[in-house]
Amino acid sequence: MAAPGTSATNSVLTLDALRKRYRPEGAALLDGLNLVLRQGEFIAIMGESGAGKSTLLNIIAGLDRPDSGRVLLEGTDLCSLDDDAITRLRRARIGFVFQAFHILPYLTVLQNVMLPLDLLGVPRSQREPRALQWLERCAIGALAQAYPRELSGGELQRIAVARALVHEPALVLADEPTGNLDAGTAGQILRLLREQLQATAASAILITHSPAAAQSADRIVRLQAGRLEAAAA
Amino acid sequence: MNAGHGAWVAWRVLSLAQLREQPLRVCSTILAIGLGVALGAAVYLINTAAVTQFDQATRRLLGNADVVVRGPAAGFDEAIFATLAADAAVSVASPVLELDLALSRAHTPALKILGLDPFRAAALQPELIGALGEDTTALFAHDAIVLSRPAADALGLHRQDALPVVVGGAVKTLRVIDILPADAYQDPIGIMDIAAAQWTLERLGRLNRVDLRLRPAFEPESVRVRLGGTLPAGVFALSAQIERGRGATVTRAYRVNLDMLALVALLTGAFLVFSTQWLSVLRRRVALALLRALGVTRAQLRLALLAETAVTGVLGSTLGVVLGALAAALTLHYLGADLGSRQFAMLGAAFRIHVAALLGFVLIGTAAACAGGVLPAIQAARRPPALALKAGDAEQDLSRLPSTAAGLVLGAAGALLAWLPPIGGLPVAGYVSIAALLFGSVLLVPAATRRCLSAVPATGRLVLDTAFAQLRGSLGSTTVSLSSIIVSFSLMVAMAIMVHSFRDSFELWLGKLLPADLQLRLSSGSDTATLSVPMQNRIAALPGVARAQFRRTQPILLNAERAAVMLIARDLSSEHPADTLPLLREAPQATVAGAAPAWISESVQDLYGYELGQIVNLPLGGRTERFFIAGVWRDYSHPAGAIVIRREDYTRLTGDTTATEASVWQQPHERATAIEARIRAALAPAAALEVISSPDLRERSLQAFDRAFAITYALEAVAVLIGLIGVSVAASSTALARRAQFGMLRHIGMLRRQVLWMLASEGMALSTLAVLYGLLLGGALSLILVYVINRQSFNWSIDLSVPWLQLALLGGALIGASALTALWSGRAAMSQDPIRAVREDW
Repeated sequence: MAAPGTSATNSVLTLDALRKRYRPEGAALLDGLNLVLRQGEFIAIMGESGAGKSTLLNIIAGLDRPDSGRVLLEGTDLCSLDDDAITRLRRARIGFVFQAFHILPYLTVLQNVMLPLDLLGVPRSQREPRALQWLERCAIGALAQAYPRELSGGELQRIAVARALVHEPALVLADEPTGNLDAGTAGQILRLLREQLQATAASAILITHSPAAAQSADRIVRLQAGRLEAAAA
Repeated sequence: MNAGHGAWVAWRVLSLAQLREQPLRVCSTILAIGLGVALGAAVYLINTAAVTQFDQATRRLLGNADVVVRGPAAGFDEAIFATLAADAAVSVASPVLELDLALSRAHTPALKILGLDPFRAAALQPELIGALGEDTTALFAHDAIVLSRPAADALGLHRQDALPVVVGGAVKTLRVIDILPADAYQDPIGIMDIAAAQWTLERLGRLNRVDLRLRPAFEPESVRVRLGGTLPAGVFALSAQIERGRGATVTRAYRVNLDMLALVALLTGAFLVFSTQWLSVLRRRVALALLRALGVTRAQLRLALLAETAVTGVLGSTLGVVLGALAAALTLHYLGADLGSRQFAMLGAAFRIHVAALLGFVLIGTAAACAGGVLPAIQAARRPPALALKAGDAEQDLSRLPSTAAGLVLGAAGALLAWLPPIGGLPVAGYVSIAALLFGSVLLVPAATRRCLSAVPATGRLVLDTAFAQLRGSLGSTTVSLSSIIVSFSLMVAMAIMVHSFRDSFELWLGKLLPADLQLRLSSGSDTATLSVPMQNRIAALPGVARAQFRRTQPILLNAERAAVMLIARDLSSEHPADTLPLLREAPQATVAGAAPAWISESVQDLYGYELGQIVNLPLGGRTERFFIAGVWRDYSHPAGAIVIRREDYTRLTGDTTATEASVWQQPHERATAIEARIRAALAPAAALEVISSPDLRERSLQAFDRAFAITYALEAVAVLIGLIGVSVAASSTALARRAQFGMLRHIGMLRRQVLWMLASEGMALSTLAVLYGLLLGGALSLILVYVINRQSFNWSIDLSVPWLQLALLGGALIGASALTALWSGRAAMSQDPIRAVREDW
């Protein structure tokens, strides 16, 4: 069953009756959750702390498995794949932006952004220009040879956005990407993310507990009692 | 993209970052593997040089012989040669007089000489005889001798030089008629014509060896057995293979023990790799999780981490073989192949590079490093990346390890294995017991640590309580850090106790055997120099001499496949033998009708199975004589065994009144140097006399003991070094991982020195636990070393003696080093300002 306000056509991601419980005696974090994400759509998922937002994101990314239900990424059911197959799919079709940035400190900015292309086996002659292009698009082209230790939080998150999109994934997962940033910087990052998503027609899911951050999305849903409900845009 | 590419990317990201971030830690791990491989390579090269040299020497000596008939040094009737030569199975029979010839020079060991019939010997030892040159008739002169190049060089002799030798109590002069080419024989040896040797060395009508080559139609083993049945007591027919291998067999236990020590060093290094890699994986868990999130598969991550340890292994092993080769070359040059242990009584074992063997050591070291890295790699790949990306999962892995039961099972197995007898003369079960106890104890470390830490009460002092809370909260990394220190420290404790016990026992034994003021002998280890009765009387009658006792020693063969046992005829009371010998056990009866008493060393008891009170037949003077085993005594001087009989019985049975050694007691107020001078003046072959005061002999013996244990001391040092490396690696890894934590503590008001003191307290607490655990484990391992490994390897016992002061100092040093290393690592980790520290991802 599709979530409210969605349609199953042209979907990048379909979640069908997902269930997940971490403790046998505990309440279900996800209880028959459904979602359809169209190509190019940007949705924000809000909810209280401990509602299961990050768990949902991990299941979508293939880093965790639901107790039951289906996760269809571009028509492929992740639950039917083994870990290696999910990993290869994630490598090619998903990008990540984390709250804690997770930029490798001993690689330069350029090397960090090239990493997904490196893993995909893109030749070096193509990796570097593509990565540089994305650094320019994220307005940090001048920092290509800098090390992360020298940079501010906002700059680090720009690097993360560039890394998430450099391999042109179908889906970007952003887990509280502005949680460590001030309001002004957070706004800049969300605008940047929005612009680049539109430029690449990638879809995105933003996990946030900030109503202001959620406003950057096309659609806002709320995770409550294990299911997604439409929230005010 | 293929699977290897992802692993390559992951390896690049992880390892190069590691090298940039903690180059010292990487170098320390490489060094740990290198030390282990170096010890192994050095031991291998030294042993190989010695065994190869010995093998080459005996091959040259025995040549093409199929069977060797061998008797005691005193020889057998040469009529036996005629009988053997006439045997239908024998194609060529070559008579030999093989003796260790006393030289009339101070502090010069006896020279092995072969008295040969050059024409007969040419068929059996063509390389040796061929080197004599075309004209062998010059050898027939009664005083002619040909020296090998090493002998000539050692004695500083050239052609036509004189060589004074001691025969009986007189000095005779030989003439060097030729020197063999350098490649003819690589040990010191002299060759004489057999008739000349019999005449000059007063062995008329006697031989002690006959080399036989058989006709092709005859099977050597059956001929050997048949001929052996016709020979007199103490004369054996041996296969050439056994004859060649005897020297190596005698020293096998010594060499195997050295190999085991080297293996222990390598395993200790491998364990350090494990603990280092485990802590490193814990510290890099977020980076590893990120790589998994970006698309590195589990297999690729495992491969990348294994490649990391493999590179460490290759680099460390390469360093190790270079260091090991260098150590072997230096050791062979300065200490000789026997390290002063007298296990190989020879000179000139040449250092050679064995490329294939050294490559093998590189492989072994790499494999050991990889073995240390397997479990961390598997655990890292298995860990769910989602948790690490949110943090907090670091300590879950080790808490899930089902180690306690396995540890108890291994420990129990180790304890049981220690009771098993030797296998093939080697303490195989003992070695396995040690490995089982070691690994079992390591598996018990998590449970033991948890109990110990939970038993520590709150002190009410912030710094101490925080330190212990940190240790309790990070049990996984605490345990891993502890384990590597425990392994190296316990091995060090075990070896320190074993060596101290041995040295104590050795020193006590020396005191018992050297009660006199002076010890005297004519040329160490010779078969030709003796003290006649007039010489003995002269010594006893010298001014300043209170009394003198004389001994006659000679090697006798009890078994064809074993080395000769030393027979020692000396004055001692059969009622109170313990006054003279370091007796361990005595037979209930002091006398047995028709049999003289004999006291056997522990080696003889173990190797020949003799029991107290048993009647045995010993070959003496060409006959078999009955003795009863009156006691067992402790002997560290003769690895192949020694038997003591009363000199009066020896003289009665053989008619031989000569002596080879003497002990002299001086009158009160006399000086040992004055008595030595009088002895030298009174005896003709004075230059060949070795006179040494008992204190000096004890000192020299202890120095030789220390040289023989040089490798063990080296291993102790390696174990301590690896332990300290483990301490520093653990401290630096932990400090780096907790930079944000230190920053937070500084933010909330903890002073810098308080943070450092907290780290020092953690380091000291950890290392104190490790020292206590290591003392217990090391003590248990030392019991196996002392009572099982040592006894089964060398067939002698030692009494346990614990060097408490040495252990206390070492333990204290380790605890102090831990505190200092923790402080140093903490300073480095807090070198950036606290604001930046709390902002960092890593």
